[in-house]
Amino acid sequence: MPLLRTVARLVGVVWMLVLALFGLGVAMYCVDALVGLGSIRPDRLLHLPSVRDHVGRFLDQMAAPGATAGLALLCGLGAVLLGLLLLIGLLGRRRERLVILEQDAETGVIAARRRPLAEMARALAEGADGATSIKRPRFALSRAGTRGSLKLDVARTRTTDPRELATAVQTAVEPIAEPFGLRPRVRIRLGDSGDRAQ
Amino acid sequence: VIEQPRRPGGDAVWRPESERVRLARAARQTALAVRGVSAADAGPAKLFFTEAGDGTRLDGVTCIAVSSDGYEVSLRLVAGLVPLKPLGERVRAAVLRVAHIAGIDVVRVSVLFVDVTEGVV
Repeated sequence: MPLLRTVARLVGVVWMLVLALFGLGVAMYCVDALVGLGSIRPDRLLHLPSVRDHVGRFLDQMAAPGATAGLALLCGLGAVLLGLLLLIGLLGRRRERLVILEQDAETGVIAARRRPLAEMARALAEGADGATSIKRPRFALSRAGTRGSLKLDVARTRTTDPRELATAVQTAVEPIAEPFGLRPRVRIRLGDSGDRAQ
Repeated sequence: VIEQPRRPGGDAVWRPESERVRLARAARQTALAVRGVSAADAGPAKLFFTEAGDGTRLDGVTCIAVSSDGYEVSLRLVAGLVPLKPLGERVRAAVLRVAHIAGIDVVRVSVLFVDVTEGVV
């Protein structure tokens, strides 16, 4: 999303420049009506008559069935996709996704970003007996950020009972999960050979 | 409790800081003094700050006057590996206390923890 947002802003700036140049061209045509600009008229400067010949030939090829028409169809679909991505970047959610600890119109909000919470949850879960490694925890939050679930992907040793490990991890992350109204969801998988419990 | 900036030397005119800036400065200092808070954060675009009268930036704090004759203080903080809810409550209580001592009405205090640092703070 941050990348889409940056691209959307960049396209906005480029689009403004294009519009400004277009306006300059129109203004030059208006001036040309009063004072003949001669060779510095925009269409002559940009050699538009020869461009029209090239584009006309391309359009003729596109109208006929063949490789050019297929390529044009792909480019069209690509342009639609690009447009949709730019719209997402432009209209997508801009506010930080926060996990709300406490929200009160009278006193204010106590909240945290997801990343520090994920790091804390991971640090706590790593202490569970039999856990060899834990992928970065993920959050599935409600729109308000007041509740949701905390997903943990935990690797175990061959000798560790998965159910016991899941319970141990849930207990370990309780200090994070409970105050933030998060439901821990633990997925246990068998760790790679050579992994050791921490 | 809430200090005025130093008087500039030479012929420069000394202007007292506004109540809003004094509150921002005090709230930031107070929050950073709370055990468990390690730093203040100006946000990803470095735009979450209050500019003091002397040109210094008070990163991680904003104070907005609200309609009920008071201020809303918002803080972006980096915390240590400590329980965040009690820490947030301690920060809020400390800011309200210092504002009360200074005679500035604070309506709301919002605390956002943006990151954590390892080790004891």
